[in-house]
Amino acid sequence: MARKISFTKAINEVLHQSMERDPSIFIIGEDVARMGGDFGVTQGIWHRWPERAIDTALSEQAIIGLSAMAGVCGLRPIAELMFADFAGVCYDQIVNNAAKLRFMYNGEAGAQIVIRAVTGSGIRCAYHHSQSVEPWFMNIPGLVIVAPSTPYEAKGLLASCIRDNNPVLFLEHKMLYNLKGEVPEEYYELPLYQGHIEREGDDITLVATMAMMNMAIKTAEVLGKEGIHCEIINPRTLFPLDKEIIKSSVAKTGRLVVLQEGPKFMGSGAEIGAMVAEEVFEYLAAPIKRVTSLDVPVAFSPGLEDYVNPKLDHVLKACREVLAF
Amino acid sequence: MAQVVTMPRYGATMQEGLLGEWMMAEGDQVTAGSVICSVEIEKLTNELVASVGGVMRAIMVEPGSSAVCGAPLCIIGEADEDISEYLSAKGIGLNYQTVVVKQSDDKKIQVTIPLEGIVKLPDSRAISVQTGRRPITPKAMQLAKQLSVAWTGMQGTGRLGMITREDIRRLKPEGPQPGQNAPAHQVLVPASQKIFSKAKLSGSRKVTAERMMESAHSSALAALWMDADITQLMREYHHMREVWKKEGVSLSITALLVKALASVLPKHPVCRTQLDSEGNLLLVESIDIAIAVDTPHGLLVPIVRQANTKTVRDISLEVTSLVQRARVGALAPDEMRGQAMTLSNLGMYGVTYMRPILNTPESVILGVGEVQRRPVYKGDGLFPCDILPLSLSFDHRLVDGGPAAVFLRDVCGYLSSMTM
Repeated sequence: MARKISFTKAINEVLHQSMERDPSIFIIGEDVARMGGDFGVTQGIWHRWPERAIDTALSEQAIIGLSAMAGVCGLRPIAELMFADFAGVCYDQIVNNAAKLRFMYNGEAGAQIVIRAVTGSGIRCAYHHSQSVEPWFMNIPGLVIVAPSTPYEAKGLLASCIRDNNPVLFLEHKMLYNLKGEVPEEYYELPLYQGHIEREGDDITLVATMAMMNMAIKTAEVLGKEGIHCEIINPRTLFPLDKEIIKSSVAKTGRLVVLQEGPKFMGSGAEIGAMVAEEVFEYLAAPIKRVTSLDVPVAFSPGLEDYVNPKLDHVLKACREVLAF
Repeated sequence: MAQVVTMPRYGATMQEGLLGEWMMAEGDQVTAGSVICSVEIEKLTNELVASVGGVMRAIMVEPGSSAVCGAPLCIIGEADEDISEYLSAKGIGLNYQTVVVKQSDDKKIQVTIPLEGIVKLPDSRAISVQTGRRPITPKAMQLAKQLSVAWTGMQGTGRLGMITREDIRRLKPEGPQPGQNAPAHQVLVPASQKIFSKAKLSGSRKVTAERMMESAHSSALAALWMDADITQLMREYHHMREVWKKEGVSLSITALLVKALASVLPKHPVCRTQLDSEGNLLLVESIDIAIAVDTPHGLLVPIVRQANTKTVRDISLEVTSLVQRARVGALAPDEMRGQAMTLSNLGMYGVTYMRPILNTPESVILGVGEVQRRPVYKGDGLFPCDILPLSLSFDHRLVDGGPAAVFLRDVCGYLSSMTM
């Protein structure tokens, strides 16, 4: 397990490995086939299986609509949204079609699709290419939302997503694309609907997703030097959320800080915070805090983009306030 | 562990199936994935595949007979295990569905999907620590403090072995339960009400309090208001003020009013009647005008004796002296008793009209407000005039409204044509 590869390479690897195992899988999206993907994630697939890699026009509605019905017919499409922000164009297909078909067909058929969407900010791509879209979809029953934070998770979780019979939105944070990590060569699956304890501690629980995980780890290191032990929970699947892992952790520490990119209002932190307050209030020793981006569109100017997103100082401040309560 | 193979349910509407033929007999070795028997539903024949390996221990349904979905068909187990308990198995009911799933290795397996109930998602890895480092939850600790419950050494029923509010309540159930309101007899004191200090009512405050109550209870207080046009007087006033200032004489509106009252009051004996303690009617002859002075020691009312005999200049000097001495508490009691009427000037505070309380035993008191420049019609012309608002309170037992009004009108008249 010593080999280190990038996030994009890990996804590419599992796509190849899954497609070798299951002939019903195909990929579809803008520039996914001949070009191998705008970010290079689907490289090599078209060369191996030209009939299973489809380039489309700029038509997200068609991509998702076609994928959903292909799923109903028994295939397993992996659709790509070049930027998750484009989900606005095909929101109806994802939410009203894909997410509901299995329910409408009484379980006899469903949209067993994976939508790979590139989310998050940090590469100076401005308003329409930098949003955190998970809140747009977390409230849709029937749609699974998965958010890996490392190359190891990306490969294992995507493998499970492909094999899952539910429509899955697989969120790839663009700032993680160049992140390198240890990834086994063989095909493996990580369980969906289960969170993961990244680090154990007694004093305060941090819940972080995707690119914020790195900030949580840094926070734990800084606070660790001061004798404060942070427990870091990675939900991995945002919906359906593994509530139990978060609740046991908060019961143990009594304090919770949620790290989340994107606006505070109705972000993923809002649900986690409300759920914890509702269900483990007895064990809370301090109010819950959320560290998030500002409630503004992500600007084009690099200075403004950096200003909008949370920084390590904000997280440390929130943690200290919670610990001092 | 033996496995009871039951009649599958290949669709939500399937109720029973017909057993076609057995592919193996009792005692045969069964491998997982091999076909055990065939099941016919209407026109379709399905193959029943074993999901576990073992030995075919018992066949319970004859070929050609039908069985309800979920009813036991055969038992697969180890060669020598006791299967007596499985033989009496009743079946798993109709609340499920059998789905044939083709795996990635092309093998088909049968999966039973329960049709109702919650599908339990796999449990996450439990926190490795079984007890927390806290023995009690924060809210339980608060409650224990509130109910005075000792909890050390107690076994908790909460997560990680912590003592919860439920546990505390079980020990001392008399405390307020969730959802119950506070007991009715509890007196609710507003949180903002704090007693800052407490002292006995004494000194001049006590005296003033008693005097005011005596006045309020004994007199039948009535009030009239009128405006005096002192435009002309003001011109003279401003001029004389400057002149007398150089001579060390401080002229004030109060002094002017004392003069005015002292000049008008002699013509209004009704306003000079007073009741003594035995209920006799007294007519006060000496025109002694008291002036209300606010001092650090409280409200004092020194008197300008026989003001009708004094000039405005004299009165100014006397008023200045009285006020100064009042402020330092150097007045004799005799200087504050036995007045014909009182003058209360609150004009320096911006007050216009008021309703003064009588300074017992007088029967009239005049309150004076701030001089105001107002537009006044004189005939058809509109003129800016200096108006002095006057408030006359009187004791209606002794002075009726008419006479009081006449007095006040005369005062206004005097002031509007007054010269110094």
